[in-house]
Amino acid sequence: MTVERQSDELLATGLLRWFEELSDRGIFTTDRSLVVRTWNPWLAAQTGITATDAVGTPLFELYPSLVERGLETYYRNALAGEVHVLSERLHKFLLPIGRHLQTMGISEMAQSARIAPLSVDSGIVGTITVIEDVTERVVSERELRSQIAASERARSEAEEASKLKDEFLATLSHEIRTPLNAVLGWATMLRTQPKMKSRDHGLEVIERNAASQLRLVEDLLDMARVMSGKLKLDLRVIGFEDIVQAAVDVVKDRDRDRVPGGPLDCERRSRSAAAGGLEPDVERNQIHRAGGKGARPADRGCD
Amino acid sequence: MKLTAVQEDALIELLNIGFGRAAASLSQLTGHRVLLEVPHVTIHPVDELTESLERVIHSEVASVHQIFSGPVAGDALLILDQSGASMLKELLTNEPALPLSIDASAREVLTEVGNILLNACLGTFGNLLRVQVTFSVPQLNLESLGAILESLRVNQEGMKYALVVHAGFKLRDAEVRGYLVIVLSVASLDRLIRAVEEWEQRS
Repeated sequence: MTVERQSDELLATGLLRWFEELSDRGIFTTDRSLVVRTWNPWLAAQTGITATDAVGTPLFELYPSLVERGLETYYRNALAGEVHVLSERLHKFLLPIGRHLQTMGISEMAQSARIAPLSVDSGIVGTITVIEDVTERVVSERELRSQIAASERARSEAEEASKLKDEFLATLSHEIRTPLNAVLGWATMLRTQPKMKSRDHGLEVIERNAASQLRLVEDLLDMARVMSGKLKLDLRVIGFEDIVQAAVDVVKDRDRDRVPGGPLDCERRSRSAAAGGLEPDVERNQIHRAGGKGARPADRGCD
Repeated sequence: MKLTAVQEDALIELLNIGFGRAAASLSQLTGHRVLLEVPHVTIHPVDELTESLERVIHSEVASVHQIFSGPVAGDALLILDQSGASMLKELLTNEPALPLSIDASAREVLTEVGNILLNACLGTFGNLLRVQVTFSVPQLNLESLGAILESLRVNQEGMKYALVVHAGFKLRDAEVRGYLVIVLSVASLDRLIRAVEEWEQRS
């Protein structure tokens, strides 16, 4: 070996030592028999194994878990020239080093590592392993991921709420339109047949339906007041018997409609609505409300 | 330079043996059954590589680059389009991928996957040629396909060819396509193809 070559190799050794001293990563080297040859201060501080204890010990004696986890192959491959990258996600760590971040449920230092051959002109003389502590990175990625999941949840909840609002508006429009059919039907009849006998009855129907619609709008405003926390209760004495009777009438009325009729009955009542005979529906709605049942039509299929 | 049908079949068979090893280690690491397939192998002069790869990859790409040296020397890359790269990471780790530019863990996983595949592929060639190849540390780049291939072309001296291995990852009922590009000198490629032919005749 020339003096120049010897000097180069000494420089290379000095350079490695300098990097090992200063590095904020774990660096160790082994010879071809996988006996530890260098062990940097970072590793000594993190593992509690001093360089004096580590150097000269076979790697798999120092860390038998490497063999149990199948990582021996990586070192054998490195001696055959292959470089290996070990990602934190797929390996968690290379050397088990305690790192307690209990709030995050972490008990081992998260690491990524590189295992590579050390080669000179004559061939591969050993291996070098570089270990990086990525625990903080893993914690911040986990936090970022949970923030993204939370905003995703909030977005889908907002979408669901908007869908429900659309459905509510559709139902509401339907409910508001129902009394208008009777009002329009009777108004047309009164205009075209001014001398009709049931004029008073027609006016009564118009009045009742207009009142029903007013009640609907008031119910809606009540709901808005509930939502904004501004609802005031109107406390007064009422006749309980009347309410029960009204509720019984509703059920009786509905049963009578449903048993013989079904869809055909709807048709019959649609025709009757066109002729101005919508009062039973309207009345039922009113009784429902009087009985505290809300604006629910007796039969949704007929409007 | 064009592969004959027999040469292509023999190369595919050889690569599938190497990829079997890579798939087994990926399955073991992830706990999912990973299958790797090589449906197609082509050869292109490096100058025409951009044109032929742009036919199959259109977006920004994630590439894992390793330089190999020894009796056979050159560049080896695994190229995935970025949506494929994110999907692969999601499938392998079971967690949603963030954009690759901010997800260091995802980039690391892809580097390891590329490393496993390139090792398997070049290890197969090394064994076949009975030569020892040494590798550089793999680097992951997120760039346009053109920029990556241009940097490859600039660093080359003399006439070079690229062996393009079309690779399909199959796992958890999904498939991600990737491309292994191995840039070799004419002499190295010629040597490799002759060795493949000899292997074919022996087996």
